[in-house]
This record gives sequence, C-alpha cells and structure tokens, in this order.
Amino acid sequence: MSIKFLIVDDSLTMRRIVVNALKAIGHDSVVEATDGKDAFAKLQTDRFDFVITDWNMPEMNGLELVKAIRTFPATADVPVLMVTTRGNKEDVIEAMQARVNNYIIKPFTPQALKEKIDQILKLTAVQK
Amino acid sequence: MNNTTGHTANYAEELRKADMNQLVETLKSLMPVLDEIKNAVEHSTNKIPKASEQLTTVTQATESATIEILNFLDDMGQRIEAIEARLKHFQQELRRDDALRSKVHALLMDLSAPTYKRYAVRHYIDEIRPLLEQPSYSEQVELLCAQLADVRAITMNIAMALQVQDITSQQIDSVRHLIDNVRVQLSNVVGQYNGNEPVMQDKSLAQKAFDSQAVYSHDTSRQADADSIVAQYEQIHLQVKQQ
Repeated sequence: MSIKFLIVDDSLTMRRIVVNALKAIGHDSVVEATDGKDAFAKLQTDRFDFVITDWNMPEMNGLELVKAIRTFPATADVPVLMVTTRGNKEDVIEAMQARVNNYIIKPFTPQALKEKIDQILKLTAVQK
Repeated sequence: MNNTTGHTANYAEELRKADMNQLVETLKSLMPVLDEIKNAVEHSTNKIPKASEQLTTVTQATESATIEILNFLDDMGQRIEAIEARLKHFQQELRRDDALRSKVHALLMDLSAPTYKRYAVRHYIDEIRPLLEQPSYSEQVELLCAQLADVRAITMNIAMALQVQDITSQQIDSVRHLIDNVRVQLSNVVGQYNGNEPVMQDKSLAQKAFDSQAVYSHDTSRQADADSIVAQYEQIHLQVKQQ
C-alpha cells in the first residue's frame, strides 16, 4: 500500500533531503509544505497518511501544527513525526504532550527515518 | 584698583559661577543618559561573545560536514575503482568468450565435415572447457550490483551530511538576531539623546524562526534520551487505550 506523506519544513534543503531519504526507502508519494500554515491548508483539502514536520518555522511552527492537526477531526489520527534540531528533553516532552507520534533530532540518517516511520505505522496499526 | 575694575571682576566671577552651575546641571541631566548608554553597551557587549561563539560553531559544523563528505567521496572513489577493475576483468572474460564462440563455431563446422577431417574435435573441446568452468555471469553481475548499491548508499550519506546547511543557517540567523538587537539598542540610546525616532528590528529577521541551540553532531545520546521519553509516552498511551 502506498503511503502519502506530507513533508513540512521551511528549509528547501531539508525538504529535498527528506524526500530523497523517503524515496530511498521506497516511499514515492510525497507532498511538500513550507510551514505549518501551508501544511494545515493542504491537510484540509487533501488526504495524507503521514506527516513529517520540522519545529522551527515562520507563520505556524511545527508544534502549533501538531496541535491543529489533533484538534481537527479529519486529521486527528494522522501520524506525525517531528524532525527537528531541538534536542532538549523539555522540547521532546512538549512535543509528546502535543501528541506527536515520534521524534527525530537532526542531523538524522535514512535508517533512523525508516525505523521511526515503521515504528509509528506498526503502533498505529496495533492501536486501530 | 578703582570701582569699575572691582565691578568687572565681580561680574566675571558671577558669570563663572553661573557657567559652572549650568555645567553641573547639564552633567546631572546627562547622568541618566550615560547610565542608559552604559547599560546598553554592557548588554551589547554581553551579546557579542555569544554571537562570536555561535559563529565558531558554524565554522566547526561546516568543517565537520565537509570532512565527512570528503571521507564519503574517498570511500566512493575506492568503490568505483573496484567496480572499474571488475568491469575490466569482465570485459576480458567476454573477449575470451568471443574467441571461444568462434572456436565452437569451427567445431560445429568440423563435426559436419567428413570423418577423416575431424582431427581438431579433441583439441577444441579442451579449449572450450574453461568456458564451462568460469564463474557464472549472473554471479558477477550480482557482485557488481551489490557494489553499485554501496555507492548509492554513500551518495545518500553525502546528501544527509548536507543537513549541515539547515543547521548552520539557523545558527547564523541567531547571530544576525543578536547583532540586530545590539544595533537597535545602541541606535535607540543615541537616537533618544539626539531626539531621533525609535529604531525598529529588521523585519526580515523578525519573521525568521530558528533554533539558537541547533548543533551538527552525530552524538547519539540526545536521540537516545528522546527515544526513551517517546517510549514512556507510548506506554502511557497504550495503558490509557487498554483502560
């Protein structure tokens, strides 16, 4: 089954790196958004199976995006993976409290990305 | 000394006193401004070392990523050399096969010749035997594919090392933010004294979102800590669902 990803990052470099890494592990269906606001607009008009988001972004940051996703009934259950430079324990706790499904600190490896995606998909399948 | 001279001296003395009083008053009125300048300069000078420190981390991050990329390129170069050597070897084997193929053709021709001319059959069979003994081509192609997959993995590692661009751009934005703060603070203190309009922060910077603590590091301890927090929350969510 093809999983449709939404990649949210204000850095063009990072979006390209994540898209390449996803393709390398067999995921070709990817849409990009430049910040939380752009992502949330896309989430309201299109269906996505998985969101990978940065934290520090203008307009609407990643944490605000996660909170919006969890509040909006149509997207409340969409798995979200936070990929960020913010590596303090307090940040991770804040993100988990906002109900992100998993957390990766940049710089990351394609293996780490694959592991987290698989882990999230397995857990969400169990929970369903 | 006559009266006129005395009056003039007194007048001059009073003028000097008045000037002194005015000077003292002016200095008194300047004190708060000087205090403000002192505070602004102190505040700014505290920010400059931080900015300098962050620029050092930018240099370190770019150097670390550059070395990493150069190492990947060296590794990739060596693997490409190995692939070239294998391909050359493969080419030699294919040439030998071409030669053997023409011998097989001659053999077939010989077999169709009158019996008394079949003197070369034995000789040709001996020559053709190595063709059957060499490793299969599919095995060799498999090895080449594996080597190419390694090279592709290295190109992915190079791409991942370019995450340094995102990290250093956040560090640089943080430095720009600090420098702009210093500019605003100092300009406003001086501007207040000159009666200028207050200076505002650079709009392009105000819209930037950055992590001032972003670091380019392959230290896995931060990710391990994050993983352990994530695991704790997953456990809690599962327990809540089960209840």
